[in-house]
Amino acid sequence: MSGEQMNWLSNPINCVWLALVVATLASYTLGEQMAGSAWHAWGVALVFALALAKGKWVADVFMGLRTAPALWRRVVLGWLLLLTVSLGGLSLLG
Amino acid sequence: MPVQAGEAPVPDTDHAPRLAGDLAVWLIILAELLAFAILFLAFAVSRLRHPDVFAASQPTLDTSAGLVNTLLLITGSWCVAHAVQAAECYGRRTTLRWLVAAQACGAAFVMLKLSEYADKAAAGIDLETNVFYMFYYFLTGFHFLHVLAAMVFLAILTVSVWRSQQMAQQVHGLETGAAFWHMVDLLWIVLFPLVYVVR
Repeated sequence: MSGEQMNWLSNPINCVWLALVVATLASYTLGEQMAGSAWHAWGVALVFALALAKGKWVADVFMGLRTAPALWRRVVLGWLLLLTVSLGGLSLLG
Repeated sequence: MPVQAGEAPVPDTDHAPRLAGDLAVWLIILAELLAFAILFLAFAVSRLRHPDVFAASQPTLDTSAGLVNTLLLITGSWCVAHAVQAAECYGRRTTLRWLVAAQACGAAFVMLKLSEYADKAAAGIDLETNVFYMFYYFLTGFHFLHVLAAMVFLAILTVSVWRSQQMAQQVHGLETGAAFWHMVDLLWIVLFPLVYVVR
């Protein structure tokens, strides 16, 4: 890895963007492959787990909640966790 | 020593917890998150009650367009985060460049969403077609309005930065606009798998 690439990755904003792109492509690919498959339930769980991870990265790094008062971080991440778990659970019931 | 563009800025020595942006916007963000959560859960419950309608209608959505829109919003958020960082560390010209790039991502999202709506309208699909499309239009339309609001917010900030000679005075406003923009991104991150991906 070149020094310039190392510099680019030393910025958390760039790392998060790269992780978000990879997670989005993974989520899309899973969606295309899992319809009607034997591992559909695992695919659904993984897609919502990826949404949870992506949301956490956006909240913590882009929105700056990692360095915000703990209550604000807990409220936003709590919203995200409750919502993705509920939506994943409801999707698996169907 | 000057910081090169793309490098991480020198860490702030003040470690006291701080909410980035205006408190009023954060209260609005909480209200929006709550409102969308109710809509998302209503969509998921409705899918349980009408599995056949959802199974027949959901595959008609263009998942590739949803993917591109996700990448556009993520990249827009990345640009906005860089704009805030640039206002703190790199100066006015770099800040403006990132803000314009973010607006371009927002504009591309709007164009793609409008073309998606036009395709559906041409196929005779509207809010009243069935319960799935009612939710599809309501959820994506409500989100679309938030993207437009975020773009207006960012445009005002861009003009303010362009006119300003004191970047330090712009940071709080930029953080406030950025928080709203990132919320729009956060909502789409949940909406994309729910409406487009999981079938």
